[in-house]
Amino acid sequence: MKEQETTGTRILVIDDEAAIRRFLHSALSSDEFTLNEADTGHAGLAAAAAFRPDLVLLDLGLPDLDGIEVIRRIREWSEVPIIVLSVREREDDKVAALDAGADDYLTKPFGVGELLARIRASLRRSASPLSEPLFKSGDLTVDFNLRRVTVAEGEVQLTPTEYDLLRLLVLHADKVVTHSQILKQIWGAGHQDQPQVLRVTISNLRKKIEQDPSRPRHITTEPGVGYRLRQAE
Amino acid sequence: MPSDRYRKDEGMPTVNRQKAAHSATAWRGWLGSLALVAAATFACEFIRPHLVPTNMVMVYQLAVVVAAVRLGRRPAIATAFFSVLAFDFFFVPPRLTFSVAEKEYLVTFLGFFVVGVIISTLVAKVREQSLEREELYREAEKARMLEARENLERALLNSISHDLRTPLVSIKGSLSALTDQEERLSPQARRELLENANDEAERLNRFVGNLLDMTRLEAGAMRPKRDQSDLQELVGCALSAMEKRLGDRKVTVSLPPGLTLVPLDMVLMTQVLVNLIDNAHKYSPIEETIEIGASVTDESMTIEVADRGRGVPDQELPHIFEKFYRVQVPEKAGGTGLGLSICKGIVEAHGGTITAKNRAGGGLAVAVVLPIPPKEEKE
Repeated sequence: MKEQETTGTRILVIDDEAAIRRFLHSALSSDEFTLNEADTGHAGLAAAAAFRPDLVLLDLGLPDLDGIEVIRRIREWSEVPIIVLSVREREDDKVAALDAGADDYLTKPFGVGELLARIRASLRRSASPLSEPLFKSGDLTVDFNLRRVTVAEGEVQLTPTEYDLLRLLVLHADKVVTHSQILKQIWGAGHQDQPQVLRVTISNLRKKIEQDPSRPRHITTEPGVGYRLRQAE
Repeated sequence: MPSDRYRKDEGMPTVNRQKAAHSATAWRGWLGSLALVAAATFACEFIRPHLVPTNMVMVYQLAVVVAAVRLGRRPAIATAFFSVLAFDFFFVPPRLTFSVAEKEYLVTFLGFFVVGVIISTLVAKVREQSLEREELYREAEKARMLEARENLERALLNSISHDLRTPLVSIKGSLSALTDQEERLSPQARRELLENANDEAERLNRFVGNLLDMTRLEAGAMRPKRDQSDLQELVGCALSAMEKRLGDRKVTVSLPPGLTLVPLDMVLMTQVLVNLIDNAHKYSPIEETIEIGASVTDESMTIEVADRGRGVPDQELPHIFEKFYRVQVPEKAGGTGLGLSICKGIVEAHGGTITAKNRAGGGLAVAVVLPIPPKEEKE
């Protein structure tokens, strides 16, 4: 492993496909990021310990180790943000990865714009957990101090559950939160088999804070996975 | 190969089946022939006062024909044999004995029996021929289906090959121009080549996705989840996925008021809606609005996507959900021909139906109806 100057954010790429590693290396190499690569799960775990990355890009289709297992082992000693790379139609894999501790996912093939947005969102969280009392995105403002939510038309009244849900999504702004994570955090562990209550609450929340609830701009659905609150730049 | 086991169109099924049938009904044949002879005898008894015995031969001959048609060759010959005996015994003087007073009757017996045998053999042959013909017809049918399937597979491969390679032409072309000709290209040209390659890569990705969906559907590997889902959310997901492609296209959404929860697979049904909206987008002018509407009853939910394009000729309407079917349009068709058949597969995997009709005033409306199971059934 080359010794890199530790300028910029350290990203570890764990992917068995050489072409993909090459593409990620070219796309991400800059003053901003320093890259390290591993081509198997075990090599990845070793590199994570040695390289101490600020973020891990993990492919779920590794030959030697189950992606979930890699996540679990990393999570045993580190909270480093992990973004998993998966393919379409494998929503269950994505959910399992997220519930095991991954922070976000990307569906292959993905564009670099999407990749950078997810990387930044994941880094933002670990760099500064919600220390600001005010959240602003487009016409939505959430004041955590005053527990007040405003949109373009003015203040909106949320039920305690709706507020808790919105707060949870804001805490994970620009990152995906799975259905089961939401249900567990807001409604408690017993409600994981009753996603209807989540649907109803999201629907009510959207009706209150979205300009057009059938084309939501703030709370977007990730079908089969969960929800993501988008933060407008 | 056990000859008494029924095998589906393998080996020598016809002969085995015939043998089995015959052995099972052989005793039926003998009984039948005796019954026929008895019947003929009774009939002849009625005409005895009016006609000379020789005429009764024709009645017995009729019995032989019936036996040949209904019972088979052996019972027919048996009928002929028993007929001779019965005729001799009951009607040839001296009656009720087997002896014959006039020797001419021996000629009658012989003639009758020979004709009987000939009839039996001929009828048996006809039956055999018709069975053979049935078998040949079945074989021809199989061969026809095999050929049709091979043709379809060939058409499929051609279509897939074409649809996979076309985007690659642009991608490879654009990228090679950028690598080999970089200095000669203006920044504008470079930008266009890159955007074109990007768009074509997305198109290729969509097509690969469609192919995979189709493969899963064919393999019966698509098992929709039945989660209570919000209709409005479903429409939102589809519109979000189509956002870039729709561009300036106007879309109206009309849903039942309040919250509507319907059991369906959000991922798969989003795909269905995306395909329908994509279809409406491709086949109607950009200035026309696409209308999405939904309605719910206690038993079912209906989602309709309607456009103001040219619609589909009535005779082609039932075919548009077939694999690789593309309505002939003068301008470039675009699309893979798989979108609608994937919709059909997913909708039917949900136990629903999908139909299309032309709208009054022009355009096509595609309606998806999904059943809502009664509340007692909880997944």
